[in-house]
Amino acid sequence: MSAAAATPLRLEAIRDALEGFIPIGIATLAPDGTPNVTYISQVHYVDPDHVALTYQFFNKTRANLLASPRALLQLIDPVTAETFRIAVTYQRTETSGPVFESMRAKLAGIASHTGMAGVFRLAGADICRVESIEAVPGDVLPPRERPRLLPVLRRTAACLGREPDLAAALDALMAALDREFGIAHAAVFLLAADGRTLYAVASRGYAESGIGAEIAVGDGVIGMAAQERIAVRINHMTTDVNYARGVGARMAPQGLDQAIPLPGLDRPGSQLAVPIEDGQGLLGVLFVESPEDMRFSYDHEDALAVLAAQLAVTVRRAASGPRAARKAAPAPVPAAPAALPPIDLRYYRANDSVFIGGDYLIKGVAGSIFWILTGAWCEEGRCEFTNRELRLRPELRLPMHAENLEARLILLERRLAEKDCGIAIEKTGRGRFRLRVDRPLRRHEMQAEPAAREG
Amino acid sequence: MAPVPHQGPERPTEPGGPLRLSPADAAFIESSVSILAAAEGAERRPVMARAIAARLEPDTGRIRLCLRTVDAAALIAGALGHGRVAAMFSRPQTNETIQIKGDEVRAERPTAEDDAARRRYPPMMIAELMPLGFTPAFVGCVVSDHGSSIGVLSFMPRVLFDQTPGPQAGRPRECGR
Repeated sequence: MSAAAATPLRLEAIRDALEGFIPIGIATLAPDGTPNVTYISQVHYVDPDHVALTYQFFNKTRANLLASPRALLQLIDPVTAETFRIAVTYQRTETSGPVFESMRAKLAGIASHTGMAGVFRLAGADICRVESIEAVPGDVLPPRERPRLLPVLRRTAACLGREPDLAAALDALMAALDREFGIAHAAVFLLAADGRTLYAVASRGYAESGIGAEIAVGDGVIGMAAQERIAVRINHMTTDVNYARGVGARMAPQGLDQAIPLPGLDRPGSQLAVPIEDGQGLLGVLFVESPEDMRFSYDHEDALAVLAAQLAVTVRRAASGPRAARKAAPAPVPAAPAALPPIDLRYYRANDSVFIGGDYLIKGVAGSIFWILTGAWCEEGRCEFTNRELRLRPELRLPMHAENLEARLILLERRLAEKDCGIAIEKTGRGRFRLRVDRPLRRHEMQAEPAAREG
Repeated sequence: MAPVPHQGPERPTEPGGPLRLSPADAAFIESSVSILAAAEGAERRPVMARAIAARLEPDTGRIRLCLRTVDAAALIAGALGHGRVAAMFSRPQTNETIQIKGDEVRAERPTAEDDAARRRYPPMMIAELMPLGFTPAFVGCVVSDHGSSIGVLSFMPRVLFDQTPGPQAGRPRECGR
């Protein structure tokens, strides 16, 4: 059979074959026609008509591509062992931006997996137009048995759509990822108003929830998904320090720089981070991981992107506040049993951090909210609040529409629940909640930093 | 990972003359290495195919690649038409890789020695790749003949490149020509 008789294929039909760590052959020609054949680490799916090749070193392949842009790729499907050849034409090299960063993260995973962590470094993403694809005739293994993701996506989206408020939507999403997709480890990070940090507002599948943990935009898989607003997927665990999560967050915190450890597996095999965004901008990152290698496919990436888009609607609605939160009806404050020992609360204005007893609770906007609520409870005898009145409090210094108050309240509510410290936030209606206090409170506003790590 | 150094090829007696592979290089290309061969095809496009065994012809110094004709028709036609071929040999467990370029290309029928090399090749590759997590069935799909007829592409080596991944990849072997 001649090559011309081979079946033409579309790139999308074989994009799973681009996964994995089987090296990909690339043949090029020098201007005088001398052939060259070597391996490249990665061929990245860009769109139905384009792939990007890793440019790591200036070598003969690179020189040939620049001078004579036609190349042929030969790759093996990591499941079926089917061989494909893709004829491409080099168009341009990108050295920054979404495609580059996505490839750089993926390459870090491949490099670690193949013992090449010190050798592989991405210098550029060579964007190529796909001219033709052929399947090489030969024996193949049965295709992967994979769940049909569209019905799964439909059921998950329906669950998410039924939840009117952000807290319930986050819980529904975490549960549905586990139940419908079999994804047991997941977290949602939201973007802080400063635009530079992300904080965990929901998680599932971790011994420590990590609610309230922060990561800088640009750091690791999650931070890179936020910075470039692109899905970042690693199918092999990476030891690359740029992608190993929690490096900074797990260092012993000092003084006010208390940090909650990021939710995460110690030895992830696969990770996928998808930006949560809408037409107005980035809102956060949906993150999933698994101890297995090769756990997440391009189809998972697509499905999670759809769910992230749906979640973005709820996040945006929460950020702009409830449409019609009525003033909270005054309710009698249940007296804290006086016989129980009081809870000492310490608040540091420098960064709005709060300690309960000796334990670090939260800082930033959530810490400031906590101080306002406990102040109202102690001084005015109030326990019922609305999101709207909080939004208007000048001491919160909330930039209009920039800070997601509801997300910060969810964060605070969940941190309090985890601490099980006798103080809780209970939702009482749309945009309304109650502060429940089981023991007397003693509030101390501190000027100096705490001497050492206490929490 | 540091590149694994090869023992270099012997210096050719004349500039531009054939390359005599060192015993180490000869042993390497006949060992458990993945083999891809490329040539210029029609319309100045490269063509490529996997070889399912390689062998050094000791008397002539030529390299013989066993190819599945069902897969390699374009490669064979291109190599014969343009007279040049490049072949890459890479050991999966170590990433040690060389590329040999040559000319004086011929399409030949497999000899008994070629058939023996081709029969040795799949079990050798299975042993090489199983520790990396590949099943014998998977490796068999990649390196077996699938009942295809086998053709041999032979060529005279001219230059050998160290292609073990790293910044040195692609440089001609220093002690070579």
